[in-house]
Amino acid sequence: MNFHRLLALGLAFPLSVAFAAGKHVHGEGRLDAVIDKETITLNLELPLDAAVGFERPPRNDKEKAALAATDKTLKEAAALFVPTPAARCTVQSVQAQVPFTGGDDKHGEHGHEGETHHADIEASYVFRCAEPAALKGIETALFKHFKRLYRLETQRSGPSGQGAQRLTPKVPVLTW
Amino acid sequence: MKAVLLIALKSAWARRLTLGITLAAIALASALLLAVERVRADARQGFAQSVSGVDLVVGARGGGVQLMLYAVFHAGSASHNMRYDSYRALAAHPAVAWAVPLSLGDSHRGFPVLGTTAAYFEHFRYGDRRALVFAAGRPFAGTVEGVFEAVIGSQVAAALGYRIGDRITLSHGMEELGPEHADKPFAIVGILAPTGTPVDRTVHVSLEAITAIHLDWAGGAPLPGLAIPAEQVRKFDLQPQEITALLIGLKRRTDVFRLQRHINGWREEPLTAVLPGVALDELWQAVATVERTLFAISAAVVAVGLAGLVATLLAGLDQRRRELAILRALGAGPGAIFLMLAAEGLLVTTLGTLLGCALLAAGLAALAPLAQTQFGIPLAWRMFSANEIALLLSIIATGLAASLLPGWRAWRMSLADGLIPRN
Amino acid sequence: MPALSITDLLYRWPRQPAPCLDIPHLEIAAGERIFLHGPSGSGKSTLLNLVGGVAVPERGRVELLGSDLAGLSGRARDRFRADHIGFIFQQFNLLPWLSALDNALLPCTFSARRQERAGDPRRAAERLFAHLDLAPELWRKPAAELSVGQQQRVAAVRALIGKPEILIADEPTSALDAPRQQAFIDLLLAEAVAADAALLFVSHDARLAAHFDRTVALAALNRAAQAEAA
Repeated sequence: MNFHRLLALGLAFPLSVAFAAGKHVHGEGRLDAVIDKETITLNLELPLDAAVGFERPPRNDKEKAALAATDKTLKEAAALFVPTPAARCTVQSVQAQVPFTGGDDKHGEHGHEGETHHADIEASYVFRCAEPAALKGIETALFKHFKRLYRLETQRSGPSGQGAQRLTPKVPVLTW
Repeated sequence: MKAVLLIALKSAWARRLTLGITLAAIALASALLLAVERVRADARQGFAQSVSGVDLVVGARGGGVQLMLYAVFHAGSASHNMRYDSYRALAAHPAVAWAVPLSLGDSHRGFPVLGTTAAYFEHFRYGDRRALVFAAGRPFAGTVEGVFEAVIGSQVAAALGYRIGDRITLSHGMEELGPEHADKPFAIVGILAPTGTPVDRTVHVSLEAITAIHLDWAGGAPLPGLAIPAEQVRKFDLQPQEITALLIGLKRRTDVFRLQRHINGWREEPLTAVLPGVALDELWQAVATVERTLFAISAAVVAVGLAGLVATLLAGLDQRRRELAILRALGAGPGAIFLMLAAEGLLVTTLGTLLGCALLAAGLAALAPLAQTQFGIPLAWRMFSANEIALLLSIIATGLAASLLPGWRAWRMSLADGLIPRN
Repeated sequence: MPALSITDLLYRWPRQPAPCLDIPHLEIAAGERIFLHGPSGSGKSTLLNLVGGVAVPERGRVELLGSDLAGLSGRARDRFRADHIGFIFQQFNLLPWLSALDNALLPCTFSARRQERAGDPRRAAERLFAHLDLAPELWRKPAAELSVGQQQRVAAVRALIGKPEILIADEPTSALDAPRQQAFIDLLLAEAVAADAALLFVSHDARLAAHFDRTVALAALNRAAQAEAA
């Protein structure tokens, strides 16, 4: 009898399905966080549906406005992600790509075996912290802005090691 | 009040058999609850200790948790191998500081055999970023001449009584009685110091050695009529075609997710890269339900134990009516009667919980070797954690709260009975 | 000052229409030894609960040594009882898991006054044991291992220790055979005289009434019983 083998058989199989990379689940986003010395790097992936409720080119002005508003929200990094205040972190750079806005529409759009179309928002943020030792966590306002988003699967690599955490509207703080 | 407590103590001593049984039940229940918490915490701690320092684990496309369990804990099995060429390509990637290939599948008397390179001993980290230390000997040479050299973990050495220079043979697969590579014995050239991680239970050989012992094998069995003597394998090209998994350390932590995506989108073959710490957390998320269930069951056992205490105290009350009335006549107020009962409950709960701690200590001492060798969970005796102390206190508090009911009944009874109980 | 003075006492059990005790007057002088006679069910126990301050009358006054019990808080009544009253009950009135000596010393653990008046409580208990002919080898035995007669004597010592002003004995001899009954009563009377304590001896057995200063029939005293009879 080997406990590890049991664990592997009993648990890893369903997990292997659930955690397969590049999965697109409506309402579920992904957030990768690296904390390296004084720098925080965040990479965000959201299904477009979670932000605006559709995943295709906009059909009217209202939908266009929704995409533009999402783009604007995602670029306000300081309001979207709040690291521990005592660490005194400031935004260094913001990149956000919302499908169907601007010229480069192909990015973030991909098909699944040609059946249905999905579109993902991709954004990345870099913060620099004056007091990295005080850094204990990052609170996100994503759930407040995007009501259709109910879950954010996070991966983290930092001074205290690596970890995974599931953020939800009730638990919107990434901690380590 | 001191006098009342002394009388309560003497009264309890007079009923020591019934109370003792109740106490034993509480002791067993709290030992169980503590053990569940202890194993949970120590398993997490122990597992977390095993994966420090590795930024990414790479293997054939599949579940991340499964990959991490197999590569780091040698548990379960890999669905596929990955190409040696992919390892070479990734090792040369500018973001990669070091890459250590792993080849698993064989065993020695139940201990997993890991084929790797000498870089493993240099880069592997456990606990708080501690490097591996040789208790005796040196790494395997990894050269053509030194192909049949092995480095064993501390538990392999301790369990099988091996020393430097001993010769061992490897078995194919994980079964202890699997087919043997008996014609190609290995010399033990190094023994690692204990780490409290799966390294202790592993036999390490070079990747070339894994190739060498399988030269004349196919499909998990020796090829009939083809036996290549050990001294002749050197003539063959021993560079493997495939490996099981790859451990990667990065130059800069910032690159980890970029490289992970790069590997997950690898063009030459389908690969999966996971952050081992992330996969571990995902594993814990998955077992959380089991843990909570176990915890709930043992908490229920504690509740049953405390319910037994209340039942014992309540049942005893009827027999003690006269005793309580006598104390009333001698000047004890209803408050003192209440205090006696509550103190008794508290005493039994506290002693029971303390005995539970002793049982836990004894149980750990007895089961620690098994937990370490069978499950890889280091269960050394240690002081109680804040969590465990909180558990202990909550058991005692619940016991006190539970004994308020008999106390209240005794108080009511002594008021109603007056000096002469009507019975 | 009388040891006990009852005036216009009325007591009713909860949820009972008729009162069970209605006593216009009863007084026991300091040092007086009274035999209170009443058949079982006539309210003797209730009267003792009232005198002991465990029950509170609906009307009227119960004064012990000049203090009105109704004027005291529950705690103060408990303390007053411990300080001034020695109780002797029917059989099995000891704590079986304490030794004879520890049983006798119990009042001193609950009452600082009794402890003080006993001087050295242990010596006082041993002196009383010797008076009551309880062999020294029995003193440290658990009460449960003593004979009924020995238990009664331990109970007497427990009531007497620390010289309470009032002794109350409730059917203390019902478990003894006739010759022993009289011997025990004589002992008790002698000790009450020696301690200068008032004694209220309650029994259904009128034959025990000799040797007492006065005999009171509860039935004659209790108007509630008379009303019921009429």
